[in-house]
Amino acid sequence: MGALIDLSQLPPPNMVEAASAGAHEYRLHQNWRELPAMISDIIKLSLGEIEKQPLKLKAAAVGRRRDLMLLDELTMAHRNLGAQLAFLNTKFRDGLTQGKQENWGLDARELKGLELLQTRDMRHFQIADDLSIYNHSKAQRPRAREIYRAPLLIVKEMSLGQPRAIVAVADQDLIFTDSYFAASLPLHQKQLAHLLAMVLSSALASWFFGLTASEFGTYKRKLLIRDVEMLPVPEFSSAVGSAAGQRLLALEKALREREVEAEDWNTVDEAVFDLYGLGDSDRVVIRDGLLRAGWQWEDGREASIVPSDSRVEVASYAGTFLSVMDGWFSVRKKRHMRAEIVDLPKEAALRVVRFVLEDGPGQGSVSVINPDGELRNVLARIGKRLKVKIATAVSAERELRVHGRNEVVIIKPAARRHWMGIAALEDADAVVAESFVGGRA
Amino acid sequence: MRIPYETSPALGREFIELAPEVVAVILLTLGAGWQQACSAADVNADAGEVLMTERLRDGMRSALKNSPLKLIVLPGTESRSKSSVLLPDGRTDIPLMMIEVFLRTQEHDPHAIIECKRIAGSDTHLCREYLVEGVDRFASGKYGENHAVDFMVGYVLSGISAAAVSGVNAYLSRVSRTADRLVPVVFIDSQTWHSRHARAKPSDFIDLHHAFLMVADGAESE
Repeated sequence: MGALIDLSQLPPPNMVEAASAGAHEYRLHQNWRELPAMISDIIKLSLGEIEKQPLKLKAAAVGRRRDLMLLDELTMAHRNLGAQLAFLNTKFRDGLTQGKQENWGLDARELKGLELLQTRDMRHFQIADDLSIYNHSKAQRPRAREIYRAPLLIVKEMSLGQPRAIVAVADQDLIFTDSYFAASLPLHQKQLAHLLAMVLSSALASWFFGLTASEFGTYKRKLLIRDVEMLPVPEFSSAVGSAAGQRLLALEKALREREVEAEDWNTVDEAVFDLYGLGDSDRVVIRDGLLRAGWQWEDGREASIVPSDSRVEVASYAGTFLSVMDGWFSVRKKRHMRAEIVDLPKEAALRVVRFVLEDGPGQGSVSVINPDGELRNVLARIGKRLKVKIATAVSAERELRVHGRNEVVIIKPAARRHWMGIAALEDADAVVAESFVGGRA
Repeated sequence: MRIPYETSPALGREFIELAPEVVAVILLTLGAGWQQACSAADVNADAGEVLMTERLRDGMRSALKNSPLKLIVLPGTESRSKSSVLLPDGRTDIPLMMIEVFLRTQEHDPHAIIECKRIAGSDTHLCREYLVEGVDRFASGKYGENHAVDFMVGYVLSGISAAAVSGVNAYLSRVSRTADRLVPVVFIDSQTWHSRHARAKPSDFIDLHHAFLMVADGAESE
């Protein structure tokens, strides 16, 4: 786990500094302990904030500023799932623990004859149709019969190979083992159960669990009841009746009958974003959150440190950066910004993007330009033009924003994780915030 | 909005100057917020300043919802003109905070302040109040002592906004403060005004942007 709470630097007494040192990357590096955390990895969080919103403690350690902002907005706008289920007089409960025979101390006769959902019997939205029948009279923890009453919203504790929760709805009573937890909803709330299955399987839920769950996202892949109950969700009845809710219900019905394809996940995520009324930049944050949650698995970690492609990941970064700046420039329509990506070879250690401010209205555009020499020549030219010793700076700080009067140059390591959408949003935020320093705004 | 800033990995001597865009965003948000405020039946020429400001604040928040511009409209708050002043000596109507600046600096003071006043060009008392109880709070450093730019809103109870500006400027002429006059500027599509006021050293002058918002049943349409 790469997060660290750095109390050794003697912060002010009411502050905790939390840093995500990106150890997922460093772990693969022999000397990872020698690599410094970056400034952009550090978030300050007051103890008062932690007391008020305990979710933020982990979020500040593993998340970024935009994550915290969105987390704040969602938790203020929506009640959490647990609170809303309580209005329906239900909650998530752990399932049956059969246990070893010597521990079978409790009567389980009223469960006899029900179908039994075991560890491998559930996939996304689907429950196997050949479940075994429970035929024991005793168990270690049989639980109450009513927790197995349909409709059941069932969540698998462990994620398998990818960061989306595995959730399905049982329309008939069944026993689930303690590798699951489930909420028994009122009979007339079947649609709600199916809608919640989609929400809990979405990128939004994975982003939220990665930021806040007590175990999931700390190199464990396990969800707990509390983690799921904390998810902010739109008010139930309006969610089911909304256009996005109806789209999700139609798709969930289809996905009960077939494999979920990659494109289906995009459709699920977009519909859930619509359900929550999220804007474009929040969608970027959440999609990146799903990606970051995938770093719990080796495939995801390795993908995050693959050198980025200037024409793909860096171009996408530049587009997202410009979307923030366009938001400001479009108000007056007097200026606009464009991006130039220096087309460095794949083996180069850094990637470089220059954002140039120009007069006149217009949309931000991204172009790829020839480096006209090696990386060191590129850096030397930028340094000379902007009167900055870049080579010295880049050896101390791995990420740099080099400012000129009408331009800003972003220099970062080549690994993909530095060029994610959320990094673009935050780098643009920094450029906007830095414009306040002059004191003329 | 001169904000202390933490050490960052930014290099270079000159930063991109977004001040005009920030001002335009705030003025536009004011306009959009007022449009929503006016849909409330209780926003009329008989309404008190506090009610209209509360409606305006709600309208601005609604206008900023899902906006890529991460401005936060704070509640009206008691404020202290200087850190050496312990007990609050003012009450700012609409403080604004830019979330990115706050997250980076933990700077709890607002990053821009909007002071709101009722006004009508034909009412010399209200025109005087606009200056003495509004503009002069910025000029004296009571509000926004560390800001370079702030904002005033006039709720135009009757007449048109140009008449309200004339009324304010006429008062300034009477008290021999012509340098403080409001002049029209083109920042956004709708008409706004600008004034500049000297402050005691070591503060530099402060620029104020003025938006005059028409109260539906009192003011004449422009």
